[in-house]
Amino acid sequence: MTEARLTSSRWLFPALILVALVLRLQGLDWDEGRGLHPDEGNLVRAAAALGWGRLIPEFHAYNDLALWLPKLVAMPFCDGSDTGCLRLVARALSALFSTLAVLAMAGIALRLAGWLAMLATALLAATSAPMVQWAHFGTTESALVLVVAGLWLHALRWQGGEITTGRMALGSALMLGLGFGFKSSALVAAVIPLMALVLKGRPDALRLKALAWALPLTALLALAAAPSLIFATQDWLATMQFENGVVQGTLPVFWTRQFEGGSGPVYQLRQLWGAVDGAGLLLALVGLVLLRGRQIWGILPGLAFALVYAGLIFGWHAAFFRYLAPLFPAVLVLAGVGAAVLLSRPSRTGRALAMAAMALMAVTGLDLAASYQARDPRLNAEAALLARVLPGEVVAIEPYDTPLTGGSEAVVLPLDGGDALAIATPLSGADWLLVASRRNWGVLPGVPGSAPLACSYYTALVRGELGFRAVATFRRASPLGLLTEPGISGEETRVVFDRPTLILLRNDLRLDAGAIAARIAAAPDPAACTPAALAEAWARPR
Amino acid sequence: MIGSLPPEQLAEAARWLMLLALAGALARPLALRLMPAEGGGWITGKLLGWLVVGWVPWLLASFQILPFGSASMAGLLLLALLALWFGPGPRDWRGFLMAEAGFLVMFWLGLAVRLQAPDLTGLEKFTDMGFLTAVMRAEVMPPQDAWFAGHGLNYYYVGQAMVGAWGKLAGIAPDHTYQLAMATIFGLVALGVFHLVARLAVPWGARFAAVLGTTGALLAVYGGNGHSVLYTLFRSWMPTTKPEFWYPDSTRFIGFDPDGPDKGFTEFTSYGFAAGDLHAHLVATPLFLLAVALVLSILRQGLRGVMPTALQSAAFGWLLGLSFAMNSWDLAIIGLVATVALAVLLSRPTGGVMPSFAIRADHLGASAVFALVAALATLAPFLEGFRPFANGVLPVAQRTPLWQLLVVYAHVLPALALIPALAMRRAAVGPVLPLAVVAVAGILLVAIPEVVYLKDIYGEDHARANTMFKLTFRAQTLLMVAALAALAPAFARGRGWTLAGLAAMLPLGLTLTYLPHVHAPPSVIRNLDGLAFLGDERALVVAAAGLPLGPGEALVEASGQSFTGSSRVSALTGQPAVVGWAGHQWLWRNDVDAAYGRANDVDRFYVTQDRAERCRLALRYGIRYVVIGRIERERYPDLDLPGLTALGALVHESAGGLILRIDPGACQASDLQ
Repeated sequence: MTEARLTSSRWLFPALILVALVLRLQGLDWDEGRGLHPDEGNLVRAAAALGWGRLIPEFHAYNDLALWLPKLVAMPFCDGSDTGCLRLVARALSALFSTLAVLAMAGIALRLAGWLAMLATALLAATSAPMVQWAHFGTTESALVLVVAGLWLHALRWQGGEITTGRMALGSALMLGLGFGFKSSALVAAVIPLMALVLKGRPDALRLKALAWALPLTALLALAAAPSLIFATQDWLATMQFENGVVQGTLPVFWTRQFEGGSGPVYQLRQLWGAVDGAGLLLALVGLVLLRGRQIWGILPGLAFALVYAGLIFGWHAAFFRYLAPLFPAVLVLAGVGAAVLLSRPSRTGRALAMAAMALMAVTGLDLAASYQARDPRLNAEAALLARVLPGEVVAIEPYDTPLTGGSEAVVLPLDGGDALAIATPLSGADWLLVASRRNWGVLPGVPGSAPLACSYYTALVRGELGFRAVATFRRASPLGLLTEPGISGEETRVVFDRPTLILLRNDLRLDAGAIAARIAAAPDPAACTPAALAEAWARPR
Repeated sequence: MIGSLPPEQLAEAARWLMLLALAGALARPLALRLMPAEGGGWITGKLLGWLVVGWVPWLLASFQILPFGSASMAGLLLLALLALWFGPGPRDWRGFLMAEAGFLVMFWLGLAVRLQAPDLTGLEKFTDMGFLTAVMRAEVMPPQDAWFAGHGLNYYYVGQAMVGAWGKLAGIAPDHTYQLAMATIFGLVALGVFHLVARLAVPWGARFAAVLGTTGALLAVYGGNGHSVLYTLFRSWMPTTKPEFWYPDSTRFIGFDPDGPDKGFTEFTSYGFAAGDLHAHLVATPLFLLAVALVLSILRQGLRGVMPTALQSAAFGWLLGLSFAMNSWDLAIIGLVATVALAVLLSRPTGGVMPSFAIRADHLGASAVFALVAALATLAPFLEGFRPFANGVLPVAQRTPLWQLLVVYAHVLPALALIPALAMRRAAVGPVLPLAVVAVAGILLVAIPEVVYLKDIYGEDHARANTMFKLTFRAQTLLMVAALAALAPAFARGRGWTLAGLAAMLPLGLTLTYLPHVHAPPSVIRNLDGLAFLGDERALVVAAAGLPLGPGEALVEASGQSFTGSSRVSALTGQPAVVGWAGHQWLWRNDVDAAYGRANDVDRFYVTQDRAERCRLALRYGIRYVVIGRIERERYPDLDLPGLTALGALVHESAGGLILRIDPGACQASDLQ
């Protein structure tokens, strides 16, 4: 690298970190304090319930540190039972962890392939759409990304002789223990230091000694970060059993119905491909292929973790997008390295392609970040309802969703039932219908075993045969949304929490329950109720 | 004699012109970077300035970074920053004054063309005013469709948005903005064509370039096509079925005269000015000319062995992407011109200044990537709010009879024939190649609608009318430019070639027989007012413009057939109506039921005597205001005025009609039973 380039990169790197921080912190209150992310809501409510009278939480889907950390950090600013404040603190922590993860990934790339790789990785990570999105949720994805990236950087520093074996063991134990305090799955990241240890060759006495005290230290720290394991063992184990049942698909819940059509490795790879616009995986492949010599030793701990972790989760029935979070350090670092390799080659077309790929990924992240400047569509829909609903009118809503009805009388439609009249009766009495996301229509018609009437119901609804007519659509405006948002085949949680599309329908024909029930009970037309067909129908002008 | 405007309107025009001059001067350093060794940069700077100043506010409003109105200065600021970055460029007062004087003359002549019939009604003027008023009312882009309440505009509207940005910047009302913009486009087209012809012709002498460039400028804004020559001067010899020549005949010839089952439109720029519509193809013409100028500049430097810079590639991509948002067909057309130029660059033999094929392919591959990325990034904010309404590309069922094609393009054929003749006479290849590229691109654009067409809503008899219209609109400019430029080497060779050149120039010059249908003396310039046609409805429209409509609320006025006087309130104010011209909405949304369903609902709203039905419609569409003017009274003889006034309170009454306000509580649940 020339001196001029080196100088410019000195200000470019801090600028990229600043960009990362700004993208993550702006629009943090994207739901205007309404708490519209359900998982985050669970975490925040459990954190709010903590106090001197309740040191051990009752909620164990996240471990204790995930609840206590926002609680403790919020203490100087607000009452610890204020869920709004806790939510913002949890999101701010998430944003901070995410920014630190960018730093860590850039550090890895620097050690693997130099300054250019560091800058490329910093750009890709700073503007990574999934990382920006997770940073806006007060959940644990950002912390997990940080733990993985931190452990990898730590291992790499040890491999490069920057730190002693003792510091390597202590740091790894600390990160793993704290990571476990957020989410139990963080323990899988132990693969990283262990792989680094293996790569060093036959262990000497010093390394064995370090391992001997680091392992119990990790366990101790993990217990300290998640004391529920000791003081509420049964509850904790029951939660883990429940979670295991959900991910394995043995415990049927609404949220995993979307995977009944199939998940598995191909599905997960498709999600990963979409999350990095394809370009990220292609660059990562280039990086992987073109790495040489010592660089390969440096990449192996992170890669080994990614393979082990992917092997673990790609077999799960529940293929939630957030489960992919710990893979992002490996993907983005390799992509940054791949981009740097292409950028330093003589081919102008190769350089242009690398820049185009990076620009595509960056634009996707910038667009997502920009979307948080727009008002949440659920709030807009609520305002529209308030302006239109007359006193005494009833709003029908769908189950398992987060519609805001502004205090209007709401009835929930039992869409996953098999009784047409049970759906038709509340519908016929409703004046409005608010479809708050694709959560139901994108999933239920595809699982006739669980929701036998959903296909006919939605087909009839979008055709206006149930007497309801769409009067307004609400979506979180983003300048490039249609190009960069996950399509209808994307896992639903990529959009339903923070950028759902809502449709407000008016009961125009006032059909009686019998007529509606007859139409719902009609033979389904599977081609008309696919997610793509319904999305097309919803998008038609009204 | 030279016309004038009332003082306050003269001040508006002066403000507009000064801002244009400023934008052009600020854009010049960038233009010189993009097209080095291509003249003084004043003309290309002016074209670039017009585009950048209009585009940046649209972009900022699309990203919701700044409201559209507040962002109006941003384009100038960006150009100023770029000028600081690139440096001012060589001092050239003469060039500046020549370009500004030329533009000013053409602007004033263009204003006369527009103001000879200043009313903003007829043909597509309501459509274009609807776009313009909607964008000038909007804070974010895309704006709400004034003719389909609750939905964003679903058409390539960005050209009108850019005009709106200029109106906002100059602080001018939409109707005055419309008139000044038309005059500006007239001037810019003249300058742009002058530049293209002159740069193609300059290798054979600056004097030829100046004369041919000036001729090109005049032909572009006043000239017709082969039909307008043959069917006026030689009408008695032509097989016409029409009693006399009417100026649109030259655009409605194929399938019209004689009447046939396969109709094609062959519009050209001067017809666009005569029609006076601020429509997409005309608004995008300055961009098209700039894009072609950039492609030719890159080609010329490529022929000297200098490959395009990243800045040139990105700028071309920007123009390509922007062209889609302004006039979607131009993306394909400009892409075609670039592809022909690219093929020429790649096919040149190695040696001399020309690097090896591998090096060229690598450079041009990188340029293509940069251009495509820039194009995608530019058009992406537009695509976010745009739902394509075409139904795919199909092979044509019928082709134009050859004699009709020869009639339309008769004026350019002799001059174009000089190009192969010159090649056979071993003229220097380098300077001829750019004009050959222009000619080939033009010929391909004529040929494409004879092979395939883009399916839209029109029936079989007009199946390829729109495809032919959009492609040949550009083809006629390109062919005229190439034809004029091809005269330069002929003139330069002297003797017999000069005679051949003069003979080839004659049919081109004769297209100025179309001039009387376009030209108007500047003395017609008296007032920018475009709304005088409203008569006593003017007060009604002015009142409607000030109605405080909230999000999701709409007004209702009579819908009606396209190109009629209906839907005038929404078109002239930008206030969202339930539906405007339903036929247009059908085309833009490719959904006949949605468009005519609304139109039927509007009809029912006015005439039903059932309060429940009217309430249901009011709630469905969020109708807050009801317009009852002359058009409504004509369209609805059985208008239920008592029922309407029972529902809404009177908020405006004038000789032109009245406006009722339906308050949120006007309809109760009991009303709906």
